[in-house]
Amino acid sequence: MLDLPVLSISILLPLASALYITVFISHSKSLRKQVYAMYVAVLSSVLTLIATSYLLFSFDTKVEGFQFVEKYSWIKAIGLEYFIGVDGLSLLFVFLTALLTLICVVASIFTIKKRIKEYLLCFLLLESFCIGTFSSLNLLLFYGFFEVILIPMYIIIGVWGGENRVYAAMKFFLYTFFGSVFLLLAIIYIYSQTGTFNMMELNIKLPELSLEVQKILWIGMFISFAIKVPMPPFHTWLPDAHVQAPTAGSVMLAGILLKIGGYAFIRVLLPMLPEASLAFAQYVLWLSAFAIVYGSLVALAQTDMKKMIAYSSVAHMGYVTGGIFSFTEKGLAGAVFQMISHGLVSSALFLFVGMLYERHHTKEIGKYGGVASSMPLLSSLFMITMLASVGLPGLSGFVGEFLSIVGMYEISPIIGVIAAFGVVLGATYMLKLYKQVIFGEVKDPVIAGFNDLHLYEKLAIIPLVVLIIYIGILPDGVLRIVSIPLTN
Amino acid sequence: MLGQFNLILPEIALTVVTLFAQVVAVFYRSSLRFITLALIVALIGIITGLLYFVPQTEIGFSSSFEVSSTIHLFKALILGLTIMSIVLYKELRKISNKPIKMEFVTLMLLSTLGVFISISARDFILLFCGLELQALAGYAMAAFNVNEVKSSEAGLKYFVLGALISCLMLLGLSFLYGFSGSMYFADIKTVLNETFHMGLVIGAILVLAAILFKLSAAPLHIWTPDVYEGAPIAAVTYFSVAQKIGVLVVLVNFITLVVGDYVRISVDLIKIAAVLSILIGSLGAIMQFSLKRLMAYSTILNVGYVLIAISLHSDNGLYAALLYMFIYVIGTIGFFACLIALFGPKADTASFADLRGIAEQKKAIGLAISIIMFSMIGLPPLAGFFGKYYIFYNAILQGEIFLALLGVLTSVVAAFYYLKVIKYMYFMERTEELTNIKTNRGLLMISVFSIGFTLFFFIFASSYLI
Repeated sequence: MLDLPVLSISILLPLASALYITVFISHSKSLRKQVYAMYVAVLSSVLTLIATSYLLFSFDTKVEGFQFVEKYSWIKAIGLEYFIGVDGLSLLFVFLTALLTLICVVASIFTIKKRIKEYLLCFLLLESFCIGTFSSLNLLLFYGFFEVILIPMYIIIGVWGGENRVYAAMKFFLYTFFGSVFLLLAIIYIYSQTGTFNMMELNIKLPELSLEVQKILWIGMFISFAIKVPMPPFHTWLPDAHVQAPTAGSVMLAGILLKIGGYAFIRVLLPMLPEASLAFAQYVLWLSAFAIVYGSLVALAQTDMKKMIAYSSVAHMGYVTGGIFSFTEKGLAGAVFQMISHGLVSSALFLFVGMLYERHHTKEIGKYGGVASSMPLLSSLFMITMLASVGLPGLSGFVGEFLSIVGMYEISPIIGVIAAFGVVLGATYMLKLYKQVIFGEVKDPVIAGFNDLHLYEKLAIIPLVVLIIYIGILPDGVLRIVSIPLTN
Repeated sequence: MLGQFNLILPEIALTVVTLFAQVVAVFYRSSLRFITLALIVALIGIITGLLYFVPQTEIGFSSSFEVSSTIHLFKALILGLTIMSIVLYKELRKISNKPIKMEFVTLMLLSTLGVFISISARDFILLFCGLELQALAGYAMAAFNVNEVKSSEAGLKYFVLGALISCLMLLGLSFLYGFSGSMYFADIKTVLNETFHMGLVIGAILVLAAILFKLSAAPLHIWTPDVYEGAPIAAVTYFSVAQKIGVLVVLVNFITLVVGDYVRISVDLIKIAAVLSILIGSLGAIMQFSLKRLMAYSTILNVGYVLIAISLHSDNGLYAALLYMFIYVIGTIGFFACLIALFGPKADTASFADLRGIAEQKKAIGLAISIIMFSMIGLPPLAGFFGKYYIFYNAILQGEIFLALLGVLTSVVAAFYYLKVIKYMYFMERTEELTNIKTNRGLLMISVFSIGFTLFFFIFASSYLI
């Protein structure tokens, strides 16, 4: 077996290609240069996907602890070390990041008209930083990646977004930056108390602190991660950012960035501050139940497709936080599964909206109708995705929602019932969306003339749908990978 | 036999070189560019000398003038930043097709001489002379564009307020002398820390006020935005870069060598100034339109962070303060270089609206300014993050959680206006054509240095963070 630092390669390769694109491809408007930049981006994301698939397949699910660990000391004075590694939990997200980035790059080939070079640059940077976040085992390194993700996302929303993009970009940046400064203070305090940023050591040392201190640290970190997730009442940046971002930006936002919050709950908050987490779990569960119901109800009232899916994200992430803070094995497994599933499903939904938008140039639900007549393939794929989002058994959404509801029910039956009620609401708005857009009479003669999916659109969407079906039928693979890290 | 003149060789060399260049420039008006270049080479020679001949810590001239390896390092640093300001000025004149005015360069170097003297001074008379020399040259530089109302106004404001604060400082010195019978730092420290006499305290506070004024810390910051807006951009660069570092070193000297452990001044007063500066710097900048005014408020804010570190009253805190200031000024000088490269002679009045859509036409400059802005926001892995991190880290280590909390919260507010720069450059469409300015070698060197430092600090940070 080759002894390559594959994990580092999957972080550094996108970074290196981003640098290559910046420095060596001159910024001319000629088509040739743009195509060249595109080749570089596609090649780099394909290679990264191969690297992460290699990680996924050579990962030993029976071994406890982290694999592919690399550790170099960096800045001793502030405890920073280059310390990365994956366990089953982070591996799934690393793979998801690589997959979605490739899909985003492919999906944007013909839809982005201006500044394609910078666009690809941002996505490659985003990929590198996200993989870095998921694989850091040093808390300061984690914070660094966590924070620097803001830069490419801010630019993506602000430059290639919709009409109100400037406002949305500023809101996104300031909101999340506001959250992360609390995380910064918390980790500095942790370092001043323990003298290490090594996550494994912190898992042992931090629970020794007094409960009062733990609680304050917990609140600081919780605000930061809850804004990322986002949990009501910290969610208001999400609809703006989602609606204004370009299609691929929404995909990354829903598919990866929201997951960082949930991932951080499991990786940082629960093991490091277990007592405080337990003490606050009740409130978080209620907030999650609120998120599920509130998100679904607000989604029901939306007339904009992207906004509806954005609010459905709030509801779906409610299952995630609820599952995590139920502290049951089933709930946690459900939460992780739900995150993966939501990463696939909401990405696919945003891609569908993007494809419709490309053809009709509106995201108003009312302007659509009868798309099925001209776009049968899109309609059937959309149907599968929509049903997965609703939680139909046999598709990915069901497993995650079911397990996390079971977890919540075990702790508090009322919350479990509320969450289960949310599933019905979820079905209401998704079915309504599907009915109005796909079925019904053809509202606009333009719709009858739509072309069905182009090749690049098929390439982008079909892998997602296949995965949605695959992990829905055989959830065992995913659950086995995460079982060891979660039982710890 | 030079005797103790050894100690002031750098100052002598600086004076001689400056005055010689000025005299030559009077006679050979046609080859000003060459003279400036030769002057810069000579100054680089002085820097090399400063770094090469590292002296033992030694105090001379009736123990009023000290040299040490640290002081030499700072002098070299300040002279280096001064050279960069001179290069900015030279290139600006070249872009505007105007001859270099040697007087401006001379004033800048004389001001640097003042900085040199004041950071070596261990006696208040000498300190006062140094600060005055630095300030007087500064007033003249601020008012250098005599044809422009704003510039004259800036010079006048700066002068009136500066003269007032100098008077107060003299009053403070009289108090100090009257109640201790000495002008030496060491003597006053002994008396102050033993007797806590009210007169001495008043004296020390007045001197501190003068230093804070020059550092543009709130509540003595009022002059900063107006002077920054009116003064020529090269002068602003000098004020916010070389002079700021010099005054910061003076403040550190004053705190460690004079005030010592009298915490009412060395901790409490500094803390008040820090909190005020942070609040005024972050909130005041929100509604600004002029980029130079923005930088003025940004300076006030960052001086606030530096003061947090100083108020910790520990070696690590002082080190963090100096490191942060250094990182900040390197970013600032890169920003001003980019502004000049973008707007040339119009850089003096550049506002946010002028930045509209710049990134479309000037990709490299857009990227450079964004990197500096992200660094000033404090995003990892840029240099600004490490500076801020180090300050807050020391603050929390010493239990100053409130100050750290205030610091991070205001950095969110500050993020708003730094992002505004990026927003105008990248998210807005440009309506009018940009006057095309040819790529300029001097500006390019400065900005590449600044960006390189900001971007790659994390690679060699391990040797700077202790």
